[in-house]
Amino acid sequence: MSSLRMRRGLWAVAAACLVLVTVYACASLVRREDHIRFSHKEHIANQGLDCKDCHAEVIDSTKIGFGVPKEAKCMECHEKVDGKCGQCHTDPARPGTWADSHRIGVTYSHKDHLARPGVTCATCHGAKADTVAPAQRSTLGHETCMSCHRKDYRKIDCKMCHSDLVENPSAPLNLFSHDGNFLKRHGVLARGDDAVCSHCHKQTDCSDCHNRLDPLTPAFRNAERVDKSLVHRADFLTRHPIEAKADSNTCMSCHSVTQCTSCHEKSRIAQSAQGFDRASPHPQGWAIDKASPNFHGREARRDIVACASCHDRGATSNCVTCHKPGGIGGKPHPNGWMGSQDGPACKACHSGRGR
Amino acid sequence: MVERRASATWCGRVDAGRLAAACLVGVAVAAWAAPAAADPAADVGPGTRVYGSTTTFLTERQILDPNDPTSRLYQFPIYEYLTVGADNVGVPGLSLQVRGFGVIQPSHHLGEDIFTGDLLVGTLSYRDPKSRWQATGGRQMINTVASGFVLMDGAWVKVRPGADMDIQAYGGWMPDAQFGYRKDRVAFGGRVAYDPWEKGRIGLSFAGEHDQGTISRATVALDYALRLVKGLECAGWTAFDFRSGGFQETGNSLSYKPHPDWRVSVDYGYFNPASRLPATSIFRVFTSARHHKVGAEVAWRSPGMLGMDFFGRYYNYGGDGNGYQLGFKPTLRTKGKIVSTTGIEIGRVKSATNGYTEARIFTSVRPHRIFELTLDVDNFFYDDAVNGYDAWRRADPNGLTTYHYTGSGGYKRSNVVGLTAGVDLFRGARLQGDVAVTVNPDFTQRWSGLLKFQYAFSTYVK
Repeated sequence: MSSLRMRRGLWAVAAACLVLVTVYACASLVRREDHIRFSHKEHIANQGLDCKDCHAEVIDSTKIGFGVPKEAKCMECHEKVDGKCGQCHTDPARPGTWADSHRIGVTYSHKDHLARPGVTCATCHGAKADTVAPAQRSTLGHETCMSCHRKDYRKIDCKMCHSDLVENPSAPLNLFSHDGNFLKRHGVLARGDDAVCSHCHKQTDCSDCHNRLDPLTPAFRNAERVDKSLVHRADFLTRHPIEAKADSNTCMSCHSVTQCTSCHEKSRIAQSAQGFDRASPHPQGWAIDKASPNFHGREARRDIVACASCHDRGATSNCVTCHKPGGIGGKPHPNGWMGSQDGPACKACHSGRGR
Repeated sequence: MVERRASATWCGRVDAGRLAAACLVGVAVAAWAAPAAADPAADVGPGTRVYGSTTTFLTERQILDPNDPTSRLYQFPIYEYLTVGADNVGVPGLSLQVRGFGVIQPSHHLGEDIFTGDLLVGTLSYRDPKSRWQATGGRQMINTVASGFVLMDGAWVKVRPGADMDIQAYGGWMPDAQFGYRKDRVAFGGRVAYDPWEKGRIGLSFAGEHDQGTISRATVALDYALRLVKGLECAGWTAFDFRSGGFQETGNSLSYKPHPDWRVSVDYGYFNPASRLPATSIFRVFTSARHHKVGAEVAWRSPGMLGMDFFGRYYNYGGDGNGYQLGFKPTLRTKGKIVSTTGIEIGRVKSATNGYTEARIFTSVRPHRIFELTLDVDNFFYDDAVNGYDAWRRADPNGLTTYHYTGSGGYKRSNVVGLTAGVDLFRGARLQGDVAVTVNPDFTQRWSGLLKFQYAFSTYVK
């Protein structure tokens, strides 16, 4: 059995690797696109150009923008010569343009900043003039702004710069980076002071996953987010006793203790406290008092999953130990029972026998 | 049985609702009074933002008639989630937010209400333009180290008196285990912190709960977060339980980012669940799980498409043995003409008594900018057989769940396959279909499906 399981596991891993390789190969084909070759160093240090020669539009702007000039600006100095397109384009056969930049929801005026005494392009953009290739990613981080705006940052005046943090989220990069397996560790960061999160996130963001009144789990509501490590995925109800016993603190990082009681109470297998030290979660009359309204039979039929959450030792230990001819529970079937004996449940007692 | 004051549904929460409304009115009055003393510059706000969303789920689930163990009935519940909110309502800093849900159970409601629902979040909040103080009233969640997550109907106030100090306090009524409210079941607490913000923070929090005539919880906790040098951060907390006079828990994490693409972290934690249990709780199922844990995580995100997460953690349960968890999750993301995410996840969890291994493949592809397809194949292999039934992710713990008696010994694996297809109809709107099948070792197949429609908007109004 275990070798069969291992073999199937290996097949699953092999299939996963095949999928990864296939997607990677396809992606490599898709990604073959033109890039622009450009050296700031060549243009500024060697050709003697100034920033405003190409970026005049941005420098005079009161709004933040991508700031990269169009091809016409290049053509003011360069000229199109057949066979020399490769000087600027990595794929001259299919020449492209600068990649689009995503919209940045930041209130910023180049004009106002450059009007301040002592402020130059290099104040924020640093040694951009010495670079020989376009940056693959933005060289400006939150820390660049913080070199002057630390006071605003301290008084939590985010909207001074971030005009709309909802539509254009811009995480403070040097505060809590949302990289790596952030979903898994965000609780450690948020738990001390969730005000950190509330700068950008509304409380509904928290309640999407953490609200104990919510009838549907996050994994259910976001079935399409397969890339997210959402808890309660796939058959979690079966696994939750294992995970709770392995690391109950993980459960309690989101759930209050009463949520355990809540679920079990709603399933009617536990009752509210009468005293402080009850070991059993079951109400009085649960086990053998058939006259009790708390008798377990009806609830076990109604929701055997709730029973299995704790009693996961199989049918023999849970039910058939008592529910058998001659046992204290007697036969398990109600009077007039006419069910078939073909199901796996029936075979626990009726295997090899006729009807 | 303790007598409950009111049911959990919105119809029955009388006194708590009045008190919550009083809190809302109090915050509103404070908000309207505040602008007189506010900085004139603060009036230059971004305008009133109104936002909202609606999400509708049509799903099916297989249930049992309790009077007939062989029955197989199907319910088709409809879930509706609604969120509306607005920022800078009338005056800068005043916000309103409501989020709730409703459920309609049109068929085979075996003891269930046809219509149910509740308010998830309902707050009216105000923030002083200079962030010197802020207050929130209504149904809200509180999360401090001492309190953990507390859902309550009440008020929360935060003051920043200067010198980088940060003081907050809260109080309100919280639902009990069956989401009912009682007058004497209240939560209260607060936190004082030195928070120079860009360098980190250190805070001292207190949380108390009162229930059934006694203080059922009393916890004091210390939390900290420090950014030591560039790329190096540490954060954590330690909580003491005054009821039992001992450590409740501690969690500490040190992470280092040597390169923009890499993050490495190590952590240590200790947890004593008994200290976390309210004194009035009967639920002691976690009391044997007191443990220490030591772990490490490595995350790598290439500038291009590939990312990988590794993590491992060792648990020591004292005399009850040891446990561990291991995980490896490489993910490949492509952009351009075809946006896709594909990954595998190999995981292993071992507790003192049982464990499982997980092998998973998932992919999400957008062949066109408005279409999205996902596939999720998840397999769990249990060390010892469990009898938990393949209740999986479609099971509704609040409803009547499916009956399926698997026979002696339980089963040793679960296989779940899910497929979704979504289409973006127009800006903010999306329609999605989802079908999934669970196959257990008896080769009993369960099918489940849902239809989901969602729409969200956010706009500024003058």
